[in-house]
Amino acid sequence: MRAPTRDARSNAPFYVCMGLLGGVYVGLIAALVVADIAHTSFGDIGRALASPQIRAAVWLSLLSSSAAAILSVWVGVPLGYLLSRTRFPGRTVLDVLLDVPIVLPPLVVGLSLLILFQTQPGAWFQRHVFPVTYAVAGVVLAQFVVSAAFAVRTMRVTFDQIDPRAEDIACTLGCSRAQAFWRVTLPEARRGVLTAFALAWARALGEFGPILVFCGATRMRTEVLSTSVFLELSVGNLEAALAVSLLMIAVAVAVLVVMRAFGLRGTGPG
Amino acid sequence: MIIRVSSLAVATGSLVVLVGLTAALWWREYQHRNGTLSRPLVVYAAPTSRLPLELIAADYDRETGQRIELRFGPSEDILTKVRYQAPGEPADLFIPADDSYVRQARDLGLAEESVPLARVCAVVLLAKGNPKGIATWADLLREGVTVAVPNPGAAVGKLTREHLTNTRKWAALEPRVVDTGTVTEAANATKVGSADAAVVWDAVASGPAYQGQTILVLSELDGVTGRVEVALLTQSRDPAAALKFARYVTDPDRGLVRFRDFGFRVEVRAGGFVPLVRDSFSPREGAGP
Repeated sequence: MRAPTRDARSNAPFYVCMGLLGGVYVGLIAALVVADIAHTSFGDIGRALASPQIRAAVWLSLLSSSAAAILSVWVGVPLGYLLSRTRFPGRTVLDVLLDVPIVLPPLVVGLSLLILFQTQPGAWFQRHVFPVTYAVAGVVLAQFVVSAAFAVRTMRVTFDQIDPRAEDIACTLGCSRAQAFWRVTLPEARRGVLTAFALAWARALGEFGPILVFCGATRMRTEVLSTSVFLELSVGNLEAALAVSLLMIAVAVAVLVVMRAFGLRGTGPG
Repeated sequence: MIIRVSSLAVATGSLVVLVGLTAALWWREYQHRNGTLSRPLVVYAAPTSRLPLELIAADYDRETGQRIELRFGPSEDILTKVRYQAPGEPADLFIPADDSYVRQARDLGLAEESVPLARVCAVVLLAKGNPKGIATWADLLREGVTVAVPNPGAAVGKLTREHLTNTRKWAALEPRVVDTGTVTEAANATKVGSADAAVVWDAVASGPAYQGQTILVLSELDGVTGRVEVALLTQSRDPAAALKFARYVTDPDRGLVRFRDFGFRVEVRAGGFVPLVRDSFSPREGAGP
């Protein structure tokens, strides 16, 4: 009976230290949210929600972030798999290249997109396929460029952690590599896929710099929630900016909670 | 209950959702592009002019049926956008925070003509309640006082530094100065209390967001002035419509009323700016307001 008690006692300082160190960050985030709440009121949030511009921004944010996140997962899964399981010439260069959207300042991402679509091929694309600059498609593209990089990283780590033997055994039992991927590896990676989607979605929702530079801040058209915050701040309306920020937090938390709950349930046990 | 879903079903489902999202976004864009009979006039403007411009655009739409698409951003950012216009989607008018950007646009061949809207001059906006009891220039130099000054990228920041350097007052103020990005960031610093005072344009300080905060007009900043101008872009696809709207914005009985309501110091003189615009543009424009 004494041994577990002694163990529990000896472990207590360890858990206390871990809790304290982690608690600093948790406390900081909680303090940020509390400070935001303290500086705004239900009236400010109500006025923000009553604004047709902000309601339009909520819808555009939800639609564009979801589209960008799905596209991110669609490129994140194959790239993560290839980087994790294969060796090919230029792999290191590709690995570094995929980090560029993460390390580049957001404004530079937007400026680079702007310049890309001024080049001859870019201009041709806009004239003959569909307009991207200062258009809704540009919002999705700007979000996708950054959020896909996070999805790729997440998927690569996911595939790194999955033992390739199960996939190899499936191949020895007659599966093609594609069949083994679809039937063995991808089901095992479902939590990683969901995490990649959630991360990409959250990143896309908070995206601001590239959207401002590439798509502008046109009300009711290319205005997403982060743009609304900027527009309110730019006229000193801190109360409305905070109300929209809290709205963003509420929307993000609600969507991520629902997505995780239903996503994990829908894909079976881990 | 746990439902097992195959990878293929999830992949197919994600594609179906993506198609649905694309359709919703396309419908939104389609409605926008086809919502009105005429092409909207595209106006790039600094956020400092946002509140009056939104009302003016709504008034103009109501009176003429011509829709105005306002695109806001920091002055240097909207200048870049005017420079790198979207193919097939040129802009019509440019209203930056001050005339220094209009001059840059003119130098780049992006604008040929501009019309002044209002004069702006540098003032000191004090923090709520003025906890440091600032009332004079000397108070700004006291130990422990923080003065937010926009960085030289913003015209007021650049002009303030130049003027105070020329009058040999900058060295004394500099130890108290914190650089902020834009003029509204400087003003916001006083609103949240992170700075005791900020050097900003009077049009910004007298905006509705800073009501209740004291504005100091100091002789030390007398030479720091600028102008808000509306510039007509050479790339405009419909110069006549652009000129008509420019005339509306600068009309003392219409656009300038809105600017005045939001604290801008519009130049009130007989006929205001309308004659300037009318004289310059009537031969090409043809139509009345």
